[in-house]
Amino acid sequence: MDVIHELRAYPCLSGPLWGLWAVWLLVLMLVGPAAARQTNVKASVDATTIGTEESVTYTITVDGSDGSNVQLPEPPQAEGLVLLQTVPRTQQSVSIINGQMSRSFGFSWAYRPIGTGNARIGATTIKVGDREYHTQPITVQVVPQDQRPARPQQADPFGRLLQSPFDAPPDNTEAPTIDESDLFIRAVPSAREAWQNEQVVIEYRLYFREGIQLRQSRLTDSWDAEGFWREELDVETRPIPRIMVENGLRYNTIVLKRAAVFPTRAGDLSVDPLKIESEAMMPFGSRDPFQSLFALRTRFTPVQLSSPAVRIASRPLPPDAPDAFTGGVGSYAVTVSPDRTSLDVGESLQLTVTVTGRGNLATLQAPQVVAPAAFDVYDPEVSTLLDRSGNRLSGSKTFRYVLIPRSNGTFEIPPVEFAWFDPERGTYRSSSSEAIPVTVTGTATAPATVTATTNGMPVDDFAPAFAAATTWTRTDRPPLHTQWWVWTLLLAPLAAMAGGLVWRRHADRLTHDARWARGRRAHPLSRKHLKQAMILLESGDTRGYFEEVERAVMSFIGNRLNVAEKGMTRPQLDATLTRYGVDATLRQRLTVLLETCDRGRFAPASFTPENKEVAFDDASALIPDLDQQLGS
Amino acid sequence: MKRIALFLLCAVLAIGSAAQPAEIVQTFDRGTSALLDGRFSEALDAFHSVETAGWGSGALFYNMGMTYYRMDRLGEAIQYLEKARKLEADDPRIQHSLSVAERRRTDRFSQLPDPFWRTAQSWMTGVIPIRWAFGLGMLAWLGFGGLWTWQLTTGIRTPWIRRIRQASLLMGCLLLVHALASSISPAEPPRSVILDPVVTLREQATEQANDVLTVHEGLVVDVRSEAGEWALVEVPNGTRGWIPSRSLGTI
Repeated sequence: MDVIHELRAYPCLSGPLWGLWAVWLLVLMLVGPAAARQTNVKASVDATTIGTEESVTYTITVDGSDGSNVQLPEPPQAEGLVLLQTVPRTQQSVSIINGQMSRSFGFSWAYRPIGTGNARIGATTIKVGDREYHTQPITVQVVPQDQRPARPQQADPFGRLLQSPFDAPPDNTEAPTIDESDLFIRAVPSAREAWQNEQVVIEYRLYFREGIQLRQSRLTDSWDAEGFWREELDVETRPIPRIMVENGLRYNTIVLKRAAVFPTRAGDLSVDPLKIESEAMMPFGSRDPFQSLFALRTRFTPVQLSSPAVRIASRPLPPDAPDAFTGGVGSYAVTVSPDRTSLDVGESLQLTVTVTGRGNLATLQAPQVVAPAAFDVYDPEVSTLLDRSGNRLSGSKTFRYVLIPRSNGTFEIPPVEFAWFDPERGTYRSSSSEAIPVTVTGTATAPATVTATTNGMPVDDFAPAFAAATTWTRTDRPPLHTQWWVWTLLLAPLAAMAGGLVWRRHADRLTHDARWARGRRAHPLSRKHLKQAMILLESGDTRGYFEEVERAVMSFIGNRLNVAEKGMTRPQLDATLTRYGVDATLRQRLTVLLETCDRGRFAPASFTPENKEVAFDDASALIPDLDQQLGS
Repeated sequence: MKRIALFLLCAVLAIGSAAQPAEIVQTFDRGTSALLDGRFSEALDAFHSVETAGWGSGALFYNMGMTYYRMDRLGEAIQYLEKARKLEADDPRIQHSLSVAERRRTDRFSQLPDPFWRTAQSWMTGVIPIRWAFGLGMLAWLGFGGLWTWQLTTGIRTPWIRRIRQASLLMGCLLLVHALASSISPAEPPRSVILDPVVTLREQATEQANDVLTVHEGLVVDVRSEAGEWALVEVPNGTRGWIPSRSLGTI
């Protein structure tokens, strides 16, 4: 946990400090001319509310002057107050902060109230050199003595000297208390709005009224800033308080902490408050010089202080970033330098790229170095140097690239380009180096520069090219599964197996089912006999013709019914057909046809050619009719 | 039957090989000569004409990778060296040169391990290439179908024929499943190389989407899907994002 050194408010010209006055004067004489700064005039009072038995000190402070060029001003007119002395008390201070010296010179007058109510110290004019400065009126509220607020004792010997001996001693039996106006922390950001990754410096200042002493101060919580990259900046380890006037009151201020924060994303971001615990002592309210001198009745009381949270609106960077932009936001300058421009093959060339400026150097990416193809470029060695002493984080980042040429010749390293975003201009900027000519001598095959791996391959270079290709393959082939012939080949055995199965079953039935086999042959055989009959008819063989017609009909009936038709008598045939449901008309047609065939075989001369063909027609018509009536 | 089997064997073997025309070899030799003489553009023209003709070899892709490397185009160099490695994974020259090129790569990502079945599939593809597996599988499958049909028609049944038939069925199924599965879902998913010097992976396929990651030239990524002019890629550590397809070189 951080510990802040004990803080002490140094009263101006208190008794023991008179010895330092001479030293101060010496310092002023030595540094006087060099310390001339801008003049600033402020008027203040030591308290805006006083009791009727107290006095108020009115001070005009001239910052940036040692008093040599300040003309003694007239005391301001007052309403409700009485000036205690016309000759002002003067005071002078010198402070050196971060190596810079500042001086101030002041005049003080004491006033006493006439009664309760609002009193007013009017404006006045003070002349510094050739210029006049005008102060503003200040209002002081006067309350009854027992209602006055506690306030720190002004450790001011002049104030005590100016006090009236007839003043009643104040009621000082109660310890004074410290309120928020006496002691507080103020967070002061350098900006409330920032670009993403832009630097914002937040300064935490402790304000405390004169006379307040602090000890054993420490941070209570770890200070955090989510959404920011943070870098601490240096502050004085033994700070010297600076006097500042706030709301008409004089404060001593010191800087507790200073940090540079960088928003890592866009949006409304918040930095946590800075919280400290301390013990504060406010000198007792008594104006008794002895009591103040020995501080017997003073004591330290614990206090907790917290600054307000700091809200910062972060804007995204514009989209039109150049190619060389690597995320840097701030103000930068780039230098590129090689360690040499002439070397042998295999030797190394160190190219140093240095980025200097203000911004978040820690996250800055390396600029790209594009080397000729003959060079091997290795990852850069990176070193960062940050300067945390000022009011802004600055420094430099160095990238050292190693380039090794693998062949000889004259080359040119192209310019190294670095781009960043300038938040002050609101635009991207870039800087480019000059091209660097490099001369490489020697040969790549020199033993000193080329070595081989255990398997004969060159180190850090390609193996030799292939002189010939042993195998060639088609690269335009579509994938297997997208080609039709693949699936056809896959299905071909299945189709063959299905065909074989069907054929096997067919053959088995022909073998084992005689009825089915004869029935299947009935039609072909009858057609065969009829065809043969027609041939015989055309050849003039009438007998043979009628035999074939009869055979066609009878073989059909025999095959169709799976009966032995040969040797069957006409009554047996008629009975068989009747049993299979053939009607009488069809049976009669069959009987007539068979009788015709008998007559044709035994008396062929009785037939004319027309009569012969009628028998053929009858047989051709009869067979389908029989097939229909015999059913399945 | 013997004649049919012999014909089928010849047909299957013919699937995996085909003679390259002499013109291809001559063009390759011309490109190699230009490469060795330092005429890189001329070498590339010759090599690309061979590739455009639909022919490829480990030597062709290696020499193309070497040419690009000499021209300081790291992305294309790694792209063609990876292509060469796909064809001739065990060649020490390709392995060495690829490692040299990869050392110049900016991005270093940890590699997610492949699932075990991918590893097994990759090993199997290395042992038996897809087209060989398909050819042998078809031979076994046709043998099984022929034996079965022959037994059916002739009625001849012997224990030896039955065993040969069963072995053919088993071999055929295994090889065909491997070949077709690897064709549909390869052991190595489609991969590409980043060709642009710097590319930003985005959450969606649009320039306005949020950034995911910035990658650099030469990084090998898996291509998971494509939508118009954008591709969804996965870097070796598993991070996914969309990048313009024009920034990729297919391996």
